[in-house]
Amino acid sequence: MPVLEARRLSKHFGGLIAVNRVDYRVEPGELRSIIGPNGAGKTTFFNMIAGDLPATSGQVIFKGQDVTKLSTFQRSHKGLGRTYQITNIFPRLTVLENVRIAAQSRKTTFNMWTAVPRHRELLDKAEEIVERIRLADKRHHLAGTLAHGEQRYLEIGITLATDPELLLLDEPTAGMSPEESRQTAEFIRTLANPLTVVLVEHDMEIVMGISDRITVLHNGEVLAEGTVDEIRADTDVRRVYLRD
Amino acid sequence: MPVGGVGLTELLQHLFLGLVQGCFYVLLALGLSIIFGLMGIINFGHGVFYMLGAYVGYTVVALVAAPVLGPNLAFLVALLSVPLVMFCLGMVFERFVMSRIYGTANARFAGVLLTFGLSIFLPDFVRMIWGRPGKPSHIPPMLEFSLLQIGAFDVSAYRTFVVVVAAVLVTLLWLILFRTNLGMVIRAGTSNNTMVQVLGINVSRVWTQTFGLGIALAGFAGLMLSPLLAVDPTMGDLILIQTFIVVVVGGMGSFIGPVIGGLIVGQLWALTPLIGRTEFVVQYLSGTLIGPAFWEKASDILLFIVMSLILLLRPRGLFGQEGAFD
Amino acid sequence: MGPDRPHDRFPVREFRAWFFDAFDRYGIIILAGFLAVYPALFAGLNQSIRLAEDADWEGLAEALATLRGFVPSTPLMIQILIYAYFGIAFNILLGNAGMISLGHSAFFGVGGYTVGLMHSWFKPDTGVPRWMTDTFVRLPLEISLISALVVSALVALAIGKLASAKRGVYFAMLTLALSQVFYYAAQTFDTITGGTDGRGGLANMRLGSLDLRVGIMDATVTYYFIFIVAGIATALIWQILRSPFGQVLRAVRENETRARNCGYDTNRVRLCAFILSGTFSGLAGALAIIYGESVPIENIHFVTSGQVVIITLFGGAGTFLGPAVGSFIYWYLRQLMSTEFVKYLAIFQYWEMWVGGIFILIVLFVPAGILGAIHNWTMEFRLRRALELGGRRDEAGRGVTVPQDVPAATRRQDTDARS
Repeated sequence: MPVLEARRLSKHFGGLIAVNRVDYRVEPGELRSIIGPNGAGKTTFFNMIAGDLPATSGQVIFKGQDVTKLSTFQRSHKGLGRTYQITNIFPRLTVLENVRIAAQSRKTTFNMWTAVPRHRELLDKAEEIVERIRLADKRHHLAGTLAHGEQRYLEIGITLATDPELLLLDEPTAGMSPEESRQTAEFIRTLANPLTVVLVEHDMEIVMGISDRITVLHNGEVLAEGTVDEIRADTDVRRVYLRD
Repeated sequence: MPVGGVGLTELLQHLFLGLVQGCFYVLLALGLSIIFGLMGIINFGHGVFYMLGAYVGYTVVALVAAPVLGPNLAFLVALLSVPLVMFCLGMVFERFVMSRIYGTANARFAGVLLTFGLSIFLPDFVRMIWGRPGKPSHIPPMLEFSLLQIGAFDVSAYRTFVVVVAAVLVTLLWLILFRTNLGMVIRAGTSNNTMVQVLGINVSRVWTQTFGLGIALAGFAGLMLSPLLAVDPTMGDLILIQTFIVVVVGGMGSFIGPVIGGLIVGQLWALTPLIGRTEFVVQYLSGTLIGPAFWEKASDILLFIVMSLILLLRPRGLFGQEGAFD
Repeated sequence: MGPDRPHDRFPVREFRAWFFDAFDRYGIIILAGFLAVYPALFAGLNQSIRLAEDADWEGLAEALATLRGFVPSTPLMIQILIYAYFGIAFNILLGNAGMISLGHSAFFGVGGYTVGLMHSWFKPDTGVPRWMTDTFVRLPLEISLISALVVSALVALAIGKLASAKRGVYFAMLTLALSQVFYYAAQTFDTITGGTDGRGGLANMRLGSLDLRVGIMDATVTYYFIFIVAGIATALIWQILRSPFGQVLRAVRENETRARNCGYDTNRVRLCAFILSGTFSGLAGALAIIYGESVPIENIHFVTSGQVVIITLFGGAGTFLGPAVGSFIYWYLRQLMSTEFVKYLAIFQYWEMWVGGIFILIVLFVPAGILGAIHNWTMEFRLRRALELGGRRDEAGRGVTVPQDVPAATRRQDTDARS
């Protein structure tokens, strides 16, 4: 069963059709990328899948369940995690706390009777993830003071803490140096099994390097979909990208 | 010719009073909306600037009128000078206090706090300068007559004057906003501040002037209202809240929202006492908690109820922009 | 960790670190202790003045009397305590959830009116059924205080449902306007509430379980009663804020979108915080009228909402005790200005002008508030400590809100410099 399925998903903004009846299917464990020129509708598509934007029509099916009407936080509990194009973290909480509070969402929200340190397993989990994203030596720094690249890693860490089955990464390497981008791409590749990862990216090298399959969006529609080699050879894709 | 137990002339009178009150609301709501639209700051000092306008007006009239020009001319002088003075005061406040928080995180919140602080500061400051008891303010003698008088329906000249002036001002404001370059900048700045800056336009000056304009409107409203009500340091409190109700009802982010909102709220305010005089209330609800005595004073409560309904049913207001509030 | 590294050559730093540490841990206890004995201290001062006068030591008597002018009296301390607690309850929303409510007068006033009305109803000839007046010969305070909590919670639910869906300054505007309904209701239904004159004559309130009388005539008893009740409530708030729920609040404050994405239903969280804050504030309002034995209508007017905002920001919204410090500063200054300074310079009678001006200055130049600024200054040492201890003392677990400047420049908290 596909982990994620979009059926004729559309978004209209008044007269503007940003996403036009897109069908999309992701199998478990895949690492998929969505690319396309600016304005192709990639982030809008992402937003609809994650629940940040209500769809005009169409369906989003997650693990066989229709989640189209569910809100972001409900989808999160189903196992959908998402990072943003513009880094979205908790700036005045420490790095460790950023991750811990994300982990806490699986356990309790309205518990007012105990103290935070008692929930040992959340702290342990947060420590583990902080290690994994290589921010262990900065665990007590306020997240807002981190460098840009580190913040983007932190955001991935936050998402990981919610035990997602599907990870939506919106331009994870935005603003990073080429070296950082390469490292990030490697890191993302390690996430792919057993998680399923869907990336939106601009950087073609990254995309070509790690994706199982690539989907190209253009003007809100799927232009082409296939393996790295297929896409490289696709004439429509070359036309669209060379023209840009 | 009673209408549901209320005399026709009485009804007309209240409709007229509602129109007059609505004009004040329109001026105030437009001022608030312009400031919010451009700067994203809700000016909690709007009420005290309204009050200050009345006091400045009093000073101009009392100092200029008594010896020199006579009450009528003095009033005209006030009409021209008070908005100018308030415009300058608004600009000064914006330039030296408000501008310090621009660009900071939580700038809007800080703007609220600063204007709120001013609303604490000014009334006592006014008391210090002008004294604790209120000040008298009179309708200028040339406008002390009635244009029309049928039973309870009394179209006083001054009130008509208020309506006319308000209409002129609203039209002028519309012209400024939609037909001049400055207005275009203001409207553009409302939607995209960064872009406007990139175009090389002196945004900070526009902001200063816009704030001054909003304050001038508030002060002018205060001046116009002062002959009809008492002039005292607390006169701004109630008006601030009513202005908020108007912008919630009418919606912010548009020009027509505050205008229609103001007129509607004005009517609601004026017609509420009439509810207490209708046959239905007199016959069935006398002596209860919501009998005629309640309705006489229930204008404020009714406004709140209407505001709550709008919040529940159409949160952005009648003519508000969707998502004008993040 | 010993002072072996080069930059620890000067023991001064170690001392400072130790001092702030101790202040953190024991400061509360010391403060509580001081407050607990305050009435005795003040009574002692009065007694000393009388003794000095009796013994004809005029110089000393005058000096002590002047000193007394600058020291808060027990009744003033009651006021300070109540508003300190009120500010802390208010700060659940401001400092922790990041919600600016300008309508807390609704809760404060409703809490007060509930107690006031109940106590004036439980007399013969007021239409309350016989069996009730027989059971509670005089209504015990416990019942009316609990009722105040319940009523405030309901009011908070009502306002919260309408307003908490909105954010930021629009939320502020809504809370202001919605809270004023209650003021106008109080003004309009003046047969019940006493209108602008307020409701008086609430003498003889008794704490049923201990048969203790509170009120103006019993300042010391009232002080301790309020101290204990407010203290317990404050401890409850402290617990709530350091619980997992408290952390969720702060996460919502920092980045609501991200919190939603992590799986938190932020609308419910905010509503819950609003109701908590409103309920605790209602208790503050109830306490406020116990000493004064009357319910002034100002308690339900915007003026009270404004006071709690000012108080919280004077001290700083970023720390737990910030509002308490702010309450002290506010009431103390107000008293000083209107009774002492005014003797020298008449313009001090317009104390609101000064308060407003100081408030503007604080918003502009000390946005973290007084206690917040002190806390920021000491943060350097605290963080170094945490780093040195290698995570053993977890910032996350302490329940102390990480320092913030409420209207803040995005100044980097420069913690990287030392690592």
